[in-house]
Amino acid sequence: MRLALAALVTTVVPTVVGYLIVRGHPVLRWGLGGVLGIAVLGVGTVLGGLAGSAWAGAVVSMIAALAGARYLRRPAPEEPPVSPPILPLLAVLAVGVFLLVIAWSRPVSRFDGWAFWSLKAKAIATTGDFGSQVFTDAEYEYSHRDYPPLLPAWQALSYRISGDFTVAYPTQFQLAWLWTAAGVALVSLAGRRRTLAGFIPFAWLLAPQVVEESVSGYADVPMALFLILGVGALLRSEELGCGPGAVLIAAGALTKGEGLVFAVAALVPLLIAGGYRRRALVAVLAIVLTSGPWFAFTSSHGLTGDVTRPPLEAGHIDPDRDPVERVPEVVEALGVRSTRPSDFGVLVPAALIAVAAAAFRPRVLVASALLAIVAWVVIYLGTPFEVDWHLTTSADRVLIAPLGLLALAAGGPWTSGQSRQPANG
Amino acid sequence: MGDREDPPRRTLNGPAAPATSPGASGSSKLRSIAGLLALLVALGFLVPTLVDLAEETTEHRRLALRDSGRIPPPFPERLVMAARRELAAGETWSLHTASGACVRDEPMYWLAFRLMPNTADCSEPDVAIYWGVDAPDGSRVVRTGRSFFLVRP
Repeated sequence: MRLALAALVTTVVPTVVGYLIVRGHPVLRWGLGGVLGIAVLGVGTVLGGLAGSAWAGAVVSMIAALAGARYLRRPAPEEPPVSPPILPLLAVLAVGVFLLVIAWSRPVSRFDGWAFWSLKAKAIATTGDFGSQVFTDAEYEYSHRDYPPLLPAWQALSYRISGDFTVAYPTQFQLAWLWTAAGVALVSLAGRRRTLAGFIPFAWLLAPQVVEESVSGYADVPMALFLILGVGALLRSEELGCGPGAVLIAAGALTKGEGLVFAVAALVPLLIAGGYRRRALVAVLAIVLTSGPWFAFTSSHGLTGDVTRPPLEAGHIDPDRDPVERVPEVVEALGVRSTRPSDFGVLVPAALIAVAAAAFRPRVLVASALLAIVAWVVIYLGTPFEVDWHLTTSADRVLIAPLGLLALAAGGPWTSGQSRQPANG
Repeated sequence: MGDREDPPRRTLNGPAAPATSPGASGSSKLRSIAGLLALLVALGFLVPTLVDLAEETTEHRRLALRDSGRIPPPFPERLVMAARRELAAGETWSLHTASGACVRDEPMYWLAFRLMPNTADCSEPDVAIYWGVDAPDGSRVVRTGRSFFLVRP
């Protein structure tokens, strides 16, 4: 009973809160609202944990979001909201139900999922903050203690409510719920354009790599979902307000190490583009306010980034690395991984064709996607690890977010259905 | 850098908007074909992906695992159960295997996850876990199984 309660409280409650914040068609409100509510809850739990009580942070974040909803919510548009296309919506719901059933019936998390991410969720659930030995003792240095902790903080709520550290079902249910809500949101945002190209983001969502990783316990898919929907919502802020997009992008930055890199890559073109500067600045502010305290914590506790500065005893270190020599191997891996049908279908060639056919518009989103892909390359050029090992162990997962931005650029919801020009600011 | 979206010309449900130029219409058609192709291929891969996901984890369900799958070589579930029963709240543990004491490897990571909220402490453990190796002579073995010993120093 408490297991079910844990799963439902950590998913349904933030979804209802998010529903009350987001304006638009009810399907969009449930989908985007669900992801937004989870982002708010996760951020609140992290900040609460840093301040001494993750539970207080979670409760305060939900109350604050509810209280703020009446002020943040945009006035209802004059035109009736556009309903999402029904067939893609049903497809997303069918896959979502399958993932929810799988998540509730067996352990599905893979190595990093339980060894690093869920371990930290249990640690936060034990102490209610970041004071567990997992974050303070050298025994647990292997668990990437410096990684942004939104996902384990959100999952810690499940462990705390269930009181049972021996069953992973509620935390897996959370991941399946997030994918489903994000899918509903993406279909609602992208599908409203009623063009076939508008379904390229939908093809990204259903790509084998994205579906497989959605409940693996890794943070890559949650991070990508926050980021992609954040950018989509930010560009639609004339309807949704700046808040949802900014909070979602900030949540993406707080979900994984690469999240901050990709968030910055996505925001730089928006900061340069005249029509988007003000809303991008709001997102930057949200990132500073949410990720800043975490980086202050890792810095004050000496939790160094082991991707850039691994401990001496870590394996697979390349002492003679030369970034320039790595370029061909990294670029080849990018080409192979991104176009392997069993990973991403034909998403990349289709997206490139669509972007080229649209004369590389919308330029701001194309630039965001390109910058994220460049950032992906740079990560592997700069890593101190043996590059072939690092590519083998992570390249496909880490590609999910940049390719999501590319899919968004190729067919995504970059402007409102009513107003087809970016609003000022 | 600001951009404007072309009005939609090929529609799924709504009325088609007139094309502004033949070239624009062609590019719109190309985009639609690309979108349709991406969608169909993604849907084509969907069922095998979901089947793989279910099959991968069927073994976990058969073994009645509810926390995480087993890691190779199969780590004995009875060891985890015995350690959970032995460890009181707040007590620490260490793992000793054929690879050595407190080696940072998959068995250590797996046990660290399974035994939370009890945490590892290799310098002063309350319970030392010996897996696949004998406990030291004269040590106080508090629980034992087919391939493991739990020792209280």
